[in-house]
Amino acid sequence: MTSAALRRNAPLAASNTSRGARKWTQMQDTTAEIVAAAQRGDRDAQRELYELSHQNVYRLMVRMVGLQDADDLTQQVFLQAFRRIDQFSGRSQFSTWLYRLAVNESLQHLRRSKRAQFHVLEHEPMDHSSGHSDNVEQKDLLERALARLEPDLRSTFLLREVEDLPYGEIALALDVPEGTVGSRLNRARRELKQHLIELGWEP
Amino acid sequence: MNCSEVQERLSAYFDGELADEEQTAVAAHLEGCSACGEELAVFGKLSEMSASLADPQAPTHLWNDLEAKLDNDEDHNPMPSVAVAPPSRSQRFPPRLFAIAATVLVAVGLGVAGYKIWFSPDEHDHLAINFEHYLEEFDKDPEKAQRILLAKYDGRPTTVQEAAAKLQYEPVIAKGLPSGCSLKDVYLLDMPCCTCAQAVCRCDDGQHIAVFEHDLDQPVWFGDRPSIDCLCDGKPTNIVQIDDRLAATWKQGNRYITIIGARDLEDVTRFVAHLSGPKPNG
Repeated sequence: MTSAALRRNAPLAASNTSRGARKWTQMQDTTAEIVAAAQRGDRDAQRELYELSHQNVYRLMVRMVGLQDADDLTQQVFLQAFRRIDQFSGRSQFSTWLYRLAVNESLQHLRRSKRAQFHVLEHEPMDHSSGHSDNVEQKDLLERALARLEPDLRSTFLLREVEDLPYGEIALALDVPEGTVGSRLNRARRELKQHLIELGWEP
Repeated sequence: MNCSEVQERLSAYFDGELADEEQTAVAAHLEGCSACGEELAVFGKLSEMSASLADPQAPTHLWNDLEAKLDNDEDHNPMPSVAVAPPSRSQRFPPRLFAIAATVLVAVGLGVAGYKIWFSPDEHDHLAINFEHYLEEFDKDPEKAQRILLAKYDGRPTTVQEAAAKLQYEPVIAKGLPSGCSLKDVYLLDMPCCTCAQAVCRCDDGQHIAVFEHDLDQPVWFGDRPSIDCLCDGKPTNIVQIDDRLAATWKQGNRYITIIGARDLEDVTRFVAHLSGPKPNG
């Protein structure tokens, strides 16, 4: 059994060295000076913010809206972010603010395109390049199960399990109370388990 | 703690987000409950699987594309054509701008709320974001702003008559427009709160102005922009400055009218007087 204590001491981020992009905990280091320079329209600072965070936004987008639209929507998120960066007050982390824009953009896109959420990634396996076949199969199963989750549950799960955000930051990113983060994660995890079993997974 | 109480807290426990006391109480329950323990084990497996997910790499051209768009923003956002410095965002409500005619284009839309359905916080956010985008583009390129609104809210062409039939009341735009302005296009939009009819009008001097008619006041459209209340043609009117233009909202009957893109208070007053006045003969 995975104990909470073990999890707290060995967070996902630490065990996931293959993931190239920075996690939330690293993004926090983004200094206020870079944001301040970007707010003054400094293109180098904008570039730096982009470099620090675009993988996080892109990765979230791929799983929220699918590979096909992830490029455009990631770009849209950064366009919005830089156009509105003077509205960033520093009340939350910059990364949280960016996640908030990203989630809103993706939800808006999903509603606009009226796509059934389970079509998003069903046929878009993203990585067959490495690992044992069991592992690859499990990854694919999880991608497919994730795609079947309601967007609100999916975004909450991804922010927790993939982006490694604490509940307080997820609550700010999604504009929901912290208690809702916990209840959404309960639902997300239980529904994921159910979807995985339907897809042939054996817990 | 019983199973139900533990199940409610299981994610928070798993993620180490409970207060120490609760964490201990849940742990004590888990010691003797295999059902809850199995559920927790599944959470652990999901977490392990998530850790092994691929990290799809963003294409390298994204930054270049983005930079081109940012450059384009700057190219299309030159100094205003009047001898007034653009207000900074933190102080962009200098009263003198109310009296100063700004640049050439103003856009007019007429929105009519059809269904009295309020919306969720997420939708509230989207509305704020989408209108922010619309209003930002509006100042630079009203036609592009219009395209954004249509794309965001599934806009489709209609007529004033069709809109009236759909919404079951005659929109104020049926009264016609102040002299010198003519109706360009009318659309129906599916907004989170309602179905809207939007008319895009053009004035003789090339300006566009937008008028929305809605069931509920919609301050969310204007974010945290400063606003003032004043009397225009005797009507209490809320005025918001959007870059070099003004938006104005007033109550008319049991609905609200919002116009976007007025150059100054005179413009606003002209619209208030015309749209809230009696219907002209014919």
